Amino acid sequence: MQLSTKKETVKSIVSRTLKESGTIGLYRGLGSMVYFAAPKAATRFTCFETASGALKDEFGGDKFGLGKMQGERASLDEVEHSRDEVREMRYRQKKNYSI
Amino acid sequence: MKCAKCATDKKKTILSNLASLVAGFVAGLAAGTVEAILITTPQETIKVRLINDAFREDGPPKYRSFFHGVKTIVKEHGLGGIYKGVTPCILKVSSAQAFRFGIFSVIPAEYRSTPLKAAGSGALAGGLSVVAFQFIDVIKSRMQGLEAAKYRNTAHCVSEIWKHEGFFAFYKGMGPRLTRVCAEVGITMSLYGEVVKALDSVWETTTK
Repeated sequence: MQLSTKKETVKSIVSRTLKESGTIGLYRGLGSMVYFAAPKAATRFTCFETASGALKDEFGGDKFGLGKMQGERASLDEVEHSRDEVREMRYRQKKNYSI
Repeated sequence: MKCAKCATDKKKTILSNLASLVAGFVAGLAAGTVEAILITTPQETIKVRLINDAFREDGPPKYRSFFHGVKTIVKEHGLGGIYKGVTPCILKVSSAQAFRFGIFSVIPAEYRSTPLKAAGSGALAGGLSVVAFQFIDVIKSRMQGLEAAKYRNTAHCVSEIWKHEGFFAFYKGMGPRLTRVCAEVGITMSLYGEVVKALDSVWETTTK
């Protein structure tokens, strides 16, 4: 679609592809997607985790890195914990005012 | 009375959000660059060459399959035949990954805690990156495609598209790509979290 200089829509392209080469035509180029998917994901996430790990060491933060944030309950517990703190604080404040 | 602790806490949250945005962005930029050099450049070159072969006008297609195509290209043109346009590829992949990981990192952890939520957050990050950078993809595709010879360089390609087809030509094919990227990033992010969790339970890692 990006290559065409004519006016074409998704519908017209799909129906033309189906007419010219059948259902299999919609899967043209599957090979280059499939064979590269695994090495691509491996490179992407290895590099990302390495880089964000290095940044974390540099700045001493503890919230970088997807695996850490997504995979574990730890960060969620942290969120819950800080919420509880806020709630308690508000409660105390209210109490102080009312007295 | 103002709560001083609340103010500092708020400041801390904003700072930590900013830090994770920058960290996600920078780490994504690095990951995207490596990915582009090692994987995406040969992948895209092979893909474009196979597509061009399938639609060649001077006869029937020469390549019988993916592997046969790659073998023939390497035999005819050397390894350089499957490695073209590394600069636009780096630009495209690193900008997209930096944007995606940056956005994904600022989405609060509680919106990424389950596979479904992670998929939603991933789809949002992917979708935004498409809207922001579709024009780079169009330029890249034009410069690799059948009529690549029409364009002298990137600047020439941009000005030609602008002159003959107008602004919206830079956003051609955004609909299908938006659908694909949203699904792709959503599935990847959701699976990634689960795989990390699964591996963590069977495998002692030192990175924790």
